[in-house]
Amino acid sequence: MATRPTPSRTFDAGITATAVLSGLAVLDAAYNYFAGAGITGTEGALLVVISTLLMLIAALIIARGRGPGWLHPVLSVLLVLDFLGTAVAAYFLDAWVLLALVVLAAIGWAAHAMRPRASLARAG
Amino acid sequence: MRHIVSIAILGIGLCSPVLAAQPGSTASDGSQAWYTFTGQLNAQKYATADQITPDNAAKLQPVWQIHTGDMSDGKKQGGPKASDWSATPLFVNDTVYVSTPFDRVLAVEPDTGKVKWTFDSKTALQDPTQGELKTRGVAYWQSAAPVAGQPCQKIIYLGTMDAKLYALDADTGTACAGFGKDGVLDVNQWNTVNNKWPLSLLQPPTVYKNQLFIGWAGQDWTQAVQPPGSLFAVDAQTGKLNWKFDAIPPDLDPKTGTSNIWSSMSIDETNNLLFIPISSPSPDYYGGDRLAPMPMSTSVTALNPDTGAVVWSYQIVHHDIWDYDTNSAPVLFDLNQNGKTVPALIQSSKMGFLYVLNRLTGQPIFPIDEKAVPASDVPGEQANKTQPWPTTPVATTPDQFPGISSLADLVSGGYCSRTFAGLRYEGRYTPPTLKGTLAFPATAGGIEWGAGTVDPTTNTYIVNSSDVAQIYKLLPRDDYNKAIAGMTPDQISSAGYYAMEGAPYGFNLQTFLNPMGMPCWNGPYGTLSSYDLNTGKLNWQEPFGQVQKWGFYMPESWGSVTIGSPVITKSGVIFIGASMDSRVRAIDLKSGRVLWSSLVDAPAVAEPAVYTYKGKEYVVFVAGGNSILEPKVGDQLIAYALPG
Repeated sequence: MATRPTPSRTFDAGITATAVLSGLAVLDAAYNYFAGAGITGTEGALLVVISTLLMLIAALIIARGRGPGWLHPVLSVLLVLDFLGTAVAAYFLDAWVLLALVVLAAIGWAAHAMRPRASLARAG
Repeated sequence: MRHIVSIAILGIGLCSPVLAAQPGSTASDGSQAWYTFTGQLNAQKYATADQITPDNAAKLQPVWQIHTGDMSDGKKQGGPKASDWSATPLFVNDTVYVSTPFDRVLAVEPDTGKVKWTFDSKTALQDPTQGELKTRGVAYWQSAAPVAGQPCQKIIYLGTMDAKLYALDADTGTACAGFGKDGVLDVNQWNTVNNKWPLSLLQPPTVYKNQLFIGWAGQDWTQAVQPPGSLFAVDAQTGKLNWKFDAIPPDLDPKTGTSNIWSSMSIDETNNLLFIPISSPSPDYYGGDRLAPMPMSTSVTALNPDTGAVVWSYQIVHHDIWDYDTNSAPVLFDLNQNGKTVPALIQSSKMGFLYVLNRLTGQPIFPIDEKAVPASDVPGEQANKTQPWPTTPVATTPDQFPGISSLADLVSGGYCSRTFAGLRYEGRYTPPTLKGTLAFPATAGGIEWGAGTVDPTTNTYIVNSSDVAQIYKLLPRDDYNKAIAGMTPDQISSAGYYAMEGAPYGFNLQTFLNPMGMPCWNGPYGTLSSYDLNTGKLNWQEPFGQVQKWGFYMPESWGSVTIGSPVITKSGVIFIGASMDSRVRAIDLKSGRVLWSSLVDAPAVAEPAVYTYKGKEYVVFVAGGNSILEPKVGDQLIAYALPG
């Protein structure tokens, strides 16, 4: 009987980049909300603060590689929706730095999703 | 009689019809000045400055800015009312002058933004007529024969919301003791007929020779019978009343009021004519008790500035029951037609109609039809059977309602189409009704008080305009009283209820939005248009500005509702704020293409001032906001120039 694959502890540059860029996106979104040109204090600016924060949390959980088996696929789907929603919101907020960070974070996530699986250990 | 031409025209008809070259636009040293709210007495808002061009406008950058601290969102309990800063700065006497909504004046160095002096009128920050703290700027006079060493040879005038007019020495900001009483003229001393509230001085007086022409703002929506809209001509140095003009026949004073001049005026210096835009009579939306002819209400009228005698008057709306007010200074220009030069003016309007008239006679230069319009079905009301309908130039707004927005209708579960089905709409001038009327364009405009700008070298006319649909509903007095029962005055106002006390009906005004706040009609919601005034043809019309909701910018093709107006420079650049997105822009005069934009603190709801100082061209905007656009206020005065 095959045992459950154990994730490798090797460094995952893609999801790490996603987490870092999400963190920067949170900071940029917060700056926009409190001092951003044209959107200070608006509902839209607050929305992307929340969405980038959720993005960061999801990326960190995925990066840690722990939790029940269903969690990562669910978070992955939510993360994709978050990328899309935040990017659209950033576009309509004219928040170009935020849009760039979200696009880069999405690229990081794509790199994570498409990384080689050979490192997964197989026991027994 | 709708159209008045007096015998006085004979006295001016022999004068040269040609305006002096850009009168009042340049200072004695040849530099670009900005003398009035409209730049010049002819209201062209044209700058001879040519340093900033379509090729280099993208390099514009802020060179100085001031935050005056004089702003309020009106939300603080017991605090100041909300501010509404629609002032155009002046550049005269090597100084930038501007008033704030707190009725202070700042004198500022034109190249550094350093404050030279300030004056505080200490006016109570509780506006008595407008519900908001408003100012549209200051006025300037200088002696033709200044006496050395004497103060007040150059004077800055500040009007306040409580009807005081202050005269300040332009060099020092100290009061001119010889003006009024210790430098303050109480304009309300002449508020002797139907006195209901102070004559609020929001618009700076128009200054010509040694006279000030003072109009005022009131509340033509609160009562049926109100002060008649007197225009006062006073001596610039003493404040002594020279003459007074009333648009309403005195025998109608017991039935109505207002028809006042609440916006700027223009002057034909060559032909010695004062042009005044006269607003609608009270109450705004029901005329059943004021059916007698008032041919100068909602008109553009020419007066002799020396005597106040009417030279001619052209009524743009008969029996106004839409609050369509003539709301801006007509822009004067010389039209070239078939090789002849015709002294002309263009009067813009809330309806988006553009009336091009001979400014000596008031006769239309392009055709204006007298067209049949819908009748009123409200007991007591008799809407006029016809209205003037200019066909050339084409109106800035469409004649027909542009249809229900599918998106706004969809997201509101059909709210927009259901509401529309219950309204009366039969095109322009559909009268207010008891079931609700769709008014398009409505009292919000069309074109507001900034009006357009003319390049006199080509007779190109640029104007921004809004496409706004509003719902007009008359309520029988008992129904009105029930509707407002238990509401505070602020709640009544914000819910769009207008009392019209003394009339058999109250009124409710709503912009046609769905419950999410989206416009129920198809855009664009605002445009910028260019016309050739020699032919009356439209050169181009583009959606202008962007709507912003919850911070999200809507597509550029939607445009924005606008307040404020453009200026044109000799080098072919249009400068304009005006839009809801709090951006100021430079636009190519020929194509309408945006060359440059900059984000400011709040919508810039007045035209900018353009000037040159020590060889450098500056563009100065006031970013103060106006609640008609959105509840965003600012206190920013910001100057832009090219680097270096």
